[in-house]
Amino acid sequence: MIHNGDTLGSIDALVNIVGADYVLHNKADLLVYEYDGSIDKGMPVVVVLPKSTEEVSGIMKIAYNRNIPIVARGAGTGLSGGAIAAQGGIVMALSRMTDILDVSENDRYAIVQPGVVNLDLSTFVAPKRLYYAPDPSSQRACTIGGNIAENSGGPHCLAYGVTTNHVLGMEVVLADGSIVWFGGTERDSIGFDLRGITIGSEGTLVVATKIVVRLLKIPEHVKTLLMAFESVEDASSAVSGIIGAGIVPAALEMMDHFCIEAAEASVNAGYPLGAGAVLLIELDGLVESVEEESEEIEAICQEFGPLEIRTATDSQERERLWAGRKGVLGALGRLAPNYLLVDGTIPRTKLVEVLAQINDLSQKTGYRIANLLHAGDGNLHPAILFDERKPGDVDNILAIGEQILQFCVDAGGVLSGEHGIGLEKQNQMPMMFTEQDMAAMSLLREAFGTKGLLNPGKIFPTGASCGDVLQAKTIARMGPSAYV
Amino acid sequence: MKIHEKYKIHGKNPENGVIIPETVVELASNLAEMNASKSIVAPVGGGTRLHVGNSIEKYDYAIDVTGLNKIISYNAADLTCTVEAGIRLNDLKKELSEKRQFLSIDAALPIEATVGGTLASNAPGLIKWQLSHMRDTVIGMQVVLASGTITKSGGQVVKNVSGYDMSRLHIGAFGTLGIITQVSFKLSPTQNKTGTVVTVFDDFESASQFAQRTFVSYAMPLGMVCIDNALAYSIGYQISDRQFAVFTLLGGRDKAYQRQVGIVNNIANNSKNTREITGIESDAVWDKLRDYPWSDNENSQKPDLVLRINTKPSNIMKSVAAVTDLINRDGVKKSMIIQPGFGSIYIFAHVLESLNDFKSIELIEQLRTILKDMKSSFVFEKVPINLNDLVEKWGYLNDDSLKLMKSLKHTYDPDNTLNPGRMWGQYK
Repeated sequence: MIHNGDTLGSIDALVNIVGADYVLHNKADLLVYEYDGSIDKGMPVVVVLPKSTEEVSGIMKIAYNRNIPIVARGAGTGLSGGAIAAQGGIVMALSRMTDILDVSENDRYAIVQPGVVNLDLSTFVAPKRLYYAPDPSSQRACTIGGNIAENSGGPHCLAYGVTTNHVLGMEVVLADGSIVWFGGTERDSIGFDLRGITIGSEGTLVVATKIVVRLLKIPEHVKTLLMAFESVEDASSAVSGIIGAGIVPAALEMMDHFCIEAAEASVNAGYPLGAGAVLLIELDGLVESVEEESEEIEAICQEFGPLEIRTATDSQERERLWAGRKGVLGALGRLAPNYLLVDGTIPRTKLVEVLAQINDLSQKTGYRIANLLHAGDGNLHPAILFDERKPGDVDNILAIGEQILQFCVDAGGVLSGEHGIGLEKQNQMPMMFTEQDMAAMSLLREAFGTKGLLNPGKIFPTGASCGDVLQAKTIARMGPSAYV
Repeated sequence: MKIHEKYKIHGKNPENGVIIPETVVELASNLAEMNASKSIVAPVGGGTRLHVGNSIEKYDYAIDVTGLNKIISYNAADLTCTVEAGIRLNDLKKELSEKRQFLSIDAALPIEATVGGTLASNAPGLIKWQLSHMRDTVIGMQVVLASGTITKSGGQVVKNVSGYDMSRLHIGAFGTLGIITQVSFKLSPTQNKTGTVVTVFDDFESASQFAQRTFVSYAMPLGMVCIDNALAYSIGYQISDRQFAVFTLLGGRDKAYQRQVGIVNNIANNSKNTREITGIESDAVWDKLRDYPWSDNENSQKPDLVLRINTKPSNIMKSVAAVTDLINRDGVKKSMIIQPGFGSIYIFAHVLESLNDFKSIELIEQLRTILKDMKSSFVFEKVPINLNDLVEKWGYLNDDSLKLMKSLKHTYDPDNTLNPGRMWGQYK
């Protein structure tokens, strides 16, 4: 239920907590907060920008006591509508909470506020030869708090794990404004794993205000390889061969010929234009281990007739290869006015099979589908190219997107590898989960006493038909700032 | 009815018997009936950790999950598997080793211990691959709730953010919120070569400095423990008259392994102090260290008190000094294992050899107080059997966390069917 009248009535109380400069309620100011990276849309009634845990607590108490929906927001780079105010109410933007509060070199952790930008943390601790491992492609903009909400991954999570594997403890604010610590600076703790259950809960259970993250040593040696193949099938088989041989590189990415073409035109990354697919493989660790693994990978890839194998010889060349990968989504705009980006994960051994299904679907429907993959962990990002001005295109590509997710689930995979469910996929949850599964999940909101006010209308099905919901909110039109 | 020794929880048997279901549907149906009749149920796996946690006042049924022991799927090329929760750790290990893979969970007594019991009881392990926690290996889970409802979360892929990660709720919850019946894991490839560098020291400070320098080097220990000479003697490992030994487990491809051995030897700075052990000898030492408090040893009885402390690595020196001063003051025989990088301390004591019940309780209470003052997370994994009903085993949590845990218990098990009171006394 929307209580936007109550929200307007709470403006004075919010101003008392954070000051008038940090409470926005004019339409022009609110427009910035209407979107996130997904092009989902939802206008909040008021946006409030706290600076401290106490201010967050005060704001949460107001929302709780007046039954106002409240959505915590980081940088708004999310791709599933997680930061959208689906039911109006308050958006609490944590972008002023940017302090790195403590760094322990000996115990290898940092304590940060949620608004700290992911890459800023690694840059800050780099002089101590430490870094924070989860590296979403949006790491120059996305915040640690947003990463907590979405349990974000990144190209290098193949070897090092996603956000939940790197968080030791959190100070959180519950819906009623209580401030509680889950876990701490220790690597293990007693009791229920409240930290673990709330990471990835898309802001529906708690709001994190201080986060203790694990830091890793910067590896001694890094090597980046580019492998070009004639077809997606050959590249996929090489990926299965590498993982099957027991080699887990730091990153293992794949791009098909559409992506290669777009990336080359856009950033001139040096990808071979005639190739059907390229793999970008990064190894790190001890010099000896990197060199031995690199030789083994080359031997495995030889079985699949590579068109070219190239090693980045210095950091500049490595960055150039990665620039192509990181800029590819923005570059797809050169191929079509619009695209719908799908996010699903499959067992890595099913890559050939599912990519063939996607290719068949593309042939059958006549829509080009560019494939960009975190191939090492089976995370697919097919981008369906279309033109929203053409009648029927939106309906058609939404149906194709849903069919691709069905391929993923049928292959033993899942609905989302890293973008989350949010608004985008809530109505596809029954593809994976029974009503009992979802009921057991949603009981958590009850147990955490949220009164359904924290980021309402997310994750679980709304009851509206999938097509209705998606069509209402998804006209994918991502610009160069889109990341996966 | 004669109840097997395995099902005793602090001396108490299930009053109405033991159920050993062979399918999850059978388990769910039994649990639903027991829940409807307001019975009290304890889930049991291998029974190796039933001594951990607070006492149960009484219980009606044990549900033995070891009948659910199949490998549902093992996709070696994908480095994942899905197993029933009653499978023994060693049985799974054997299967995986044929494909040169392993599950990075290293709990004690793996011949008996089950996957489900290990996860539910957050069993410690000494080998901390890349210093991660065993919960990081879980990618999906099926759980039967107290009502008998079968639920699942996660999946069989290594990267997944579809819905809440419910497995996190059940790992370490001691079966108080549901019974784990199936688990999907991500696996690791076996290292080409592993071995252990053993380094000996005359004092704990030198051992700690060595550990710290190793962790900031390019060596990447798969496990590192520091033990005192009392423990070395108990497991029959000779460190002559030296006071402490640090075992550093290293692994990798051949050249990488050798390079790491070189790094560790350099840090030790004196080859007289180090020794490399490999193969069966290395494996056997780690097995003995892991199982020490729970199995018969060459030179000592099992300890009657086991205290597990989690703290920041930099707090280890202070914590060890405070705890051992207190125990030594009472003249109690003790030994210890410390994981310098992970920040875990295990104290093993033979309390009843020196103290009566009253004095033993006093010692436990004093230990609780100093650990609370140091803000350490801790649990008494074992206390003398006659003290089980008299002391709180769990360390301190803040009131709001406890309130939330109580709310979770009430939400998922409103009739208090599953293991009531086994976690904090407040649940009783």
